[in-house]
Amino acid sequence: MVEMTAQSHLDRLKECVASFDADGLVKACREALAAGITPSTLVIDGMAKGMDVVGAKYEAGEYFLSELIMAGETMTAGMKVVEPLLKGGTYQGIGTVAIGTVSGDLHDIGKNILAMLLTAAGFDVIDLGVDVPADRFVQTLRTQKPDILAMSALLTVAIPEMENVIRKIDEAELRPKLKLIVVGGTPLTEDFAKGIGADAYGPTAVAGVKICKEIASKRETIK
Amino acid sequence: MNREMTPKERAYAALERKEPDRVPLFEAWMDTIVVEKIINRPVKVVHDLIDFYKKLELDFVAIPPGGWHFKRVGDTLLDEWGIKWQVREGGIVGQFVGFGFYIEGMLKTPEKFHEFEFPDPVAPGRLDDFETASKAVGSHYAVTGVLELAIFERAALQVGLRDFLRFMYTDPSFAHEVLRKNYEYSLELGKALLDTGAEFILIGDDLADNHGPFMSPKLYRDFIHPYYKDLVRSLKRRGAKVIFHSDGNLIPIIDDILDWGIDGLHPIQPGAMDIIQFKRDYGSRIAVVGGVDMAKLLPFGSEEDVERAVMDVIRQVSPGGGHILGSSNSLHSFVPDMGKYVKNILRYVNTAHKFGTYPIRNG
Repeated sequence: MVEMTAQSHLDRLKECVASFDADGLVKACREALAAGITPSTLVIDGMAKGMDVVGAKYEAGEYFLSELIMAGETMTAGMKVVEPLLKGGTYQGIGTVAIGTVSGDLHDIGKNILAMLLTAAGFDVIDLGVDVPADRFVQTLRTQKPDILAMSALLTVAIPEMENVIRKIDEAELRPKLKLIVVGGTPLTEDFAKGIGADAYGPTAVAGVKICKEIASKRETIK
Repeated sequence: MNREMTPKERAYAALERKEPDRVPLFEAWMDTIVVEKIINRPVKVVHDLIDFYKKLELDFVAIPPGGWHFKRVGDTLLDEWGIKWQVREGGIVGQFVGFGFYIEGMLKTPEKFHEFEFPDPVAPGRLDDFETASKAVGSHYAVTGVLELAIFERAALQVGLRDFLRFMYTDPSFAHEVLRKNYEYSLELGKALLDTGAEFILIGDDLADNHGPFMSPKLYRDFIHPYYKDLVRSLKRRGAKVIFHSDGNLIPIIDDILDWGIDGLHPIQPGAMDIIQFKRDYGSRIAVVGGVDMAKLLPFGSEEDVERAVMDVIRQVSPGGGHILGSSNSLHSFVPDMGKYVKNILRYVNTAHKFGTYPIRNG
């Protein structure tokens, strides 16, 4: 049997994610590990590259939410093989993002898409869900110390709640520990975001992940 | 000079892509408090809803089905389709009491779905309001029966959107089963509406978000298209005019949707599609219903902004007919200033009455 090069293992991992082949990915992960590829390389240079392909196709209008979901499921299957080997290892995401839909709003599709794209981009994501009270955002910042806070809202009446959350963060003096506060949802505007003290505004999930990636790349690691 | 058309004649003309005497007006989903502010009394019976449509001189009188049964548990309720909702008092009129935000579907697996008994589409009380409205004003207004969450959306709510989309890939026969059950429900309810004399049917089913359809065009063709083609054909065969509502960007699947044979598409959501461009590209094949932004303009704009925007959309979309003016989704109540909002709604309809008379010059 011809021995595969390290790159061809990584390419195989990427293809399996991009084609939603969960069984193939699990097999490819085991083979890559057996060939001596480190778990973190397997994730960052293999599977995550597959998610990059998926994200790009979603952006280009070739893939839809159905494909993002399948890719996410496929990646999860692969991560089940690799994760136990990462614990205590050198793998770190390129940053941590805490994300949630603010109190008073239960819309989550955009937030979920952003969470998927952030995971694909290599971030660790703390998804707080929907209808998240301000105190829970603050508590998460205090205990889990994410680098980025992302808040979502679709209802115009929930938007003042974003200002409330930012005010509480400033009162608790947790702002210096945050690299970025980004807010999103189509009803918001850039002006509004700046007006309430957010650092950035993303009208769509795709815009949001670009903003987070930019911040992550401004430093070598942001941890 | 021709006599003024009745609202029903106007609705027919627009849906046949002709020029009526003036641009017809359409609203189908309004929160209770908005209706109450307009009619200056509580909404208790269908005549209150009819008065809302009459007061604003809308041409369509959309009447949702009734006869709901649900189980209330604290501030959540479980509906007849296995879906749990967060109660929101004063939700959309005519929806079951306390219709609010979606929490989760309880039919998450094939096993749970198989154990579940679907409600009766023609249970007692389903059509009472529609029949009352039809008898009262059906000769004059375009009384419209509503098929809510008709096929895909209810399936996705029952199972969970994420899981349902996944099942399309991993368990296609289950996905088909859920869609088929909902299609059969909507078909039977639709036929019952036609049996009571319905001439106009509104189908509501969110297939897309701002990015595009939730499912790829290939999945759409396998799973969604056959049911809709049959549902719409069955309704049209009996002579009904059919308006389809979906949020989001439908362009990736628009030719397939037009293949169903619908007469009108609502709302051509701003931010997802451009109603002016859409009318240009597809106006020879379908009437467009919408044009007044309800996310920013109606809650936050000045009355002058509203007037200007309505005149603008009339000038750009209405020439040649085939346009029914309406809000870009619904008249919900998530607004900071209800008084301002109501004034803006009145200004929108008044502007349409003043400036919507044909012929309308393009510009």
